[in-house]
Amino acid sequence: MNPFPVAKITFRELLKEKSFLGLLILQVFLLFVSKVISNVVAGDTVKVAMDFALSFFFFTVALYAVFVSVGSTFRDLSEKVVYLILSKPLKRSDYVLGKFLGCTVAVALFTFLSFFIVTSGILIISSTANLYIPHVVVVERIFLLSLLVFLMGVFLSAFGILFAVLFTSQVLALISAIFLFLAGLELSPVKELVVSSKYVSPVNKLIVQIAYYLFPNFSLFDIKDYAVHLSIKVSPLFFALVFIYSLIYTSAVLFVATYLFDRREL
Amino acid sequence: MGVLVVKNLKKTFKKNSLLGLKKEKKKVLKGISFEVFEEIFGFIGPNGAGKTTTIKIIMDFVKADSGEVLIFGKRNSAISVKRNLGFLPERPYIYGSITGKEYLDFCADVYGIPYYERRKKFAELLELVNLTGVEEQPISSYSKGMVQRLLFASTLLNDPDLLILDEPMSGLDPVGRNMIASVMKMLKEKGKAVFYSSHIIQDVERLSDRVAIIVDGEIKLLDSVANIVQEFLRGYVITVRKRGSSSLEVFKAGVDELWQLLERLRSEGYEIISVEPDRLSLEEILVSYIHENRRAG
Amino acid sequence: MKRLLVAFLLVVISIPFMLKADKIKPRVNELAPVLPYSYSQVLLSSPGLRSPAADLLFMNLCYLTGNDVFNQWKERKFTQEEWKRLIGNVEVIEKLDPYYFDPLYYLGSYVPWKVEKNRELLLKINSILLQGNRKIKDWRLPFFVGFNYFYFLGDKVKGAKYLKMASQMEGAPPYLKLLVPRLYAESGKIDLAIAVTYEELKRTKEGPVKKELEKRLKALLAIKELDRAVKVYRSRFGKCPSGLQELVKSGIIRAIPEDPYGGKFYIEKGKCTVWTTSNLRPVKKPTSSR
Repeated sequence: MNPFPVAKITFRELLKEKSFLGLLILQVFLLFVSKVISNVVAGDTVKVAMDFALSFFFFTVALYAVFVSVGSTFRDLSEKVVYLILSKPLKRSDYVLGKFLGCTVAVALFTFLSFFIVTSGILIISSTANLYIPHVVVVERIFLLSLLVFLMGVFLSAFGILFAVLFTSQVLALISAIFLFLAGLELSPVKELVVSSKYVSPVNKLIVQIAYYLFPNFSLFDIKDYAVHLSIKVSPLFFALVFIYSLIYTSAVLFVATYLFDRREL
Repeated sequence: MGVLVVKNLKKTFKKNSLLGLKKEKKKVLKGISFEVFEEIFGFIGPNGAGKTTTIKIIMDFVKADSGEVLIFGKRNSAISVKRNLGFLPERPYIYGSITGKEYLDFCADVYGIPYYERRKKFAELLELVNLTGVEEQPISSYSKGMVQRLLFASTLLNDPDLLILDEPMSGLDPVGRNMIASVMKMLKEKGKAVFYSSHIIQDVERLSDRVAIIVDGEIKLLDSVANIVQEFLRGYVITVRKRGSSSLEVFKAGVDELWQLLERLRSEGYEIISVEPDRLSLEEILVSYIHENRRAG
Repeated sequence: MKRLLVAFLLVVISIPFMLKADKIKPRVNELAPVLPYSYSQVLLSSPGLRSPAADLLFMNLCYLTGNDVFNQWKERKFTQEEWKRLIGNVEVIEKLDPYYFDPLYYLGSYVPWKVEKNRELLLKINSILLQGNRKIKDWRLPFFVGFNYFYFLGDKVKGAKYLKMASQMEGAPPYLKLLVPRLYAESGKIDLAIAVTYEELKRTKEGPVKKELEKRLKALLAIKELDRAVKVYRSRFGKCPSGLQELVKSGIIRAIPEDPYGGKFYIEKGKCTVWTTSNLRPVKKPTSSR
């Protein structure tokens, strides 16, 4: 079991990619957009700015995780880099796990830098806003959000690698990952709506319920409200549960990915 | 037993047509067998004959339908086998954003070469392939030949006992080709085995100890170069000049008649300018096999 | 193959963690707040995008209101302060896009029922509708204004004025013209209710909502008939009938009509008008025990 060489070289490759810096710069730009939008509202502009800035942060990290995991795995497979790697004494599972670890470290770095950018931006916005009752920004809460966003990015990377191994078209892999993510975000509120509605047939309710249980639930990582509204409390149990959930499910995804890759003809 | 043993490999590729109704089957390998010892073994054939597929099966990138491959006496699916193996694919590619040294570091990581040994080893290998000084630059700045040379050097990092190369000469200028040829010879002298495929037949002819010709998924010929040359020798062409004259004359001799003719010419006062074997080149042999196959198939 | 099984098992094992986490996930307890938008700010930030900005604001409005109307998984009632903001937002939309009709329709047909006790807001609604009327020539705008004045604000004179304005515009239903003189009569409210229901029926497709409207229309028409019968009785006998049977006994009507909502029609003492025990809402029948 030796995933570390592949992890190291994956990380080195990802760090030097243009998308890393590009998406970070995009975050800065989106902070400006948040500020502009917040001006539209009369009242708590800081809340609105934070809503937008944190939403952009959330989606940008998700996008980065998907692009990076799908892109680099797919490139390896289509450009035959895998031949060079697998001609060395490495198991096929070492390759998949190594890719995953490399993406994890890259996502961690990206998330941390984005957290730094977004928090600085929000602090600047809140200090320059003229509010009658100032909207207090609690950095620790934004940090906790970033931790969950990081977990989400890792979770998404696993799916990205799985789809890159599974599909023969990069576009298909990317789109599947993005749709999986969007569906996983919406499933929780949709399930609540469907299950309590009078107008939905029991068969459809069952289908939605099963999908809710089995599908990856990405809405758990979305605690933006907690970061913005100070009246909301959360217990540490929640973080532990989300961590365990993402750990177990990510392992499941990696199992499937290694299984598929073992069988794949190169 | 040979370093590399290939027994009766068969492989059929299934291509699903769009509607899934007709499954086109293409028999790529119809039963390939050969053994490679401590020698330079060339593997030649036309495009689509199954050279690359054979190599992919040897390297366990693709599983054969039937047959087996043994490397150093062990199944080729064992990871430990790759510890003493070096491999270079056709048209190799590696990420452009990393530097040459970073790639060598990766290889060294995998082989478990300790850090204090790496500097010396890298320097040796880079010098061997004439790439000293560029290792800190990103691979995207290398020319195609440079990438090939770097990756070739990396295959030697673990001092392999068996080197498998798929079209190692393609994309290289004559200097590069020469370099690879001399390395291959050096390896053979050290007692290693080199198995490579190529379609530059002239190189194969002068470099290899033995060759296998593969056409349409079958091995048509497997023998040492010397034997083949001998077998397909038709005779000799002797160019001579009579002492005192300035014009050249050409005599032809059958395979067994050479010495007699030479004696005769000597006694008649001729100077021998050149004696050339009249034989089919390996290329011509290969082409004839291909045509024969086409006629049969 | 074994690995796939392990993977599936892992997913199944992860489910209880996910469920528990979803339960205790920190959520905003209130629904989306009603934000008051500032016209000048919106204009400044989207100079070339006035119409799309108006559209987005209206979408936001619909979303918030939908939260209220659906009541499917959360009970939500806006406070008067929130309604004030919503009304202000419609004003902003009107300013951004003076030709946008739908927000005004929402304002005139739905909102007054929610703020019926708040005089200030009703007057504000009317002013916005009249503002819209300057650019949009639709009979429904002055109709809503007139309805508000008459039905909620109790000002018959102004109500009649605007209903008359509406009745003279293109597309107005002909019965509006009949309605205007009626408004000076005491029973004008029922007539107005009937007019509105009638109009809604025309715009509604087949379905449960249409059936509800037909039911209501039936009840209203029954009340109207009974009211007229009561008037006849009073003019004949000089006093208010003690009960609806009196109308049958005296031969003014043949029988007491049935309330489609399951209640019973009766005469309100003091006002001498007809109403129903069901209040025009379905009466819950007691479930029989097994």
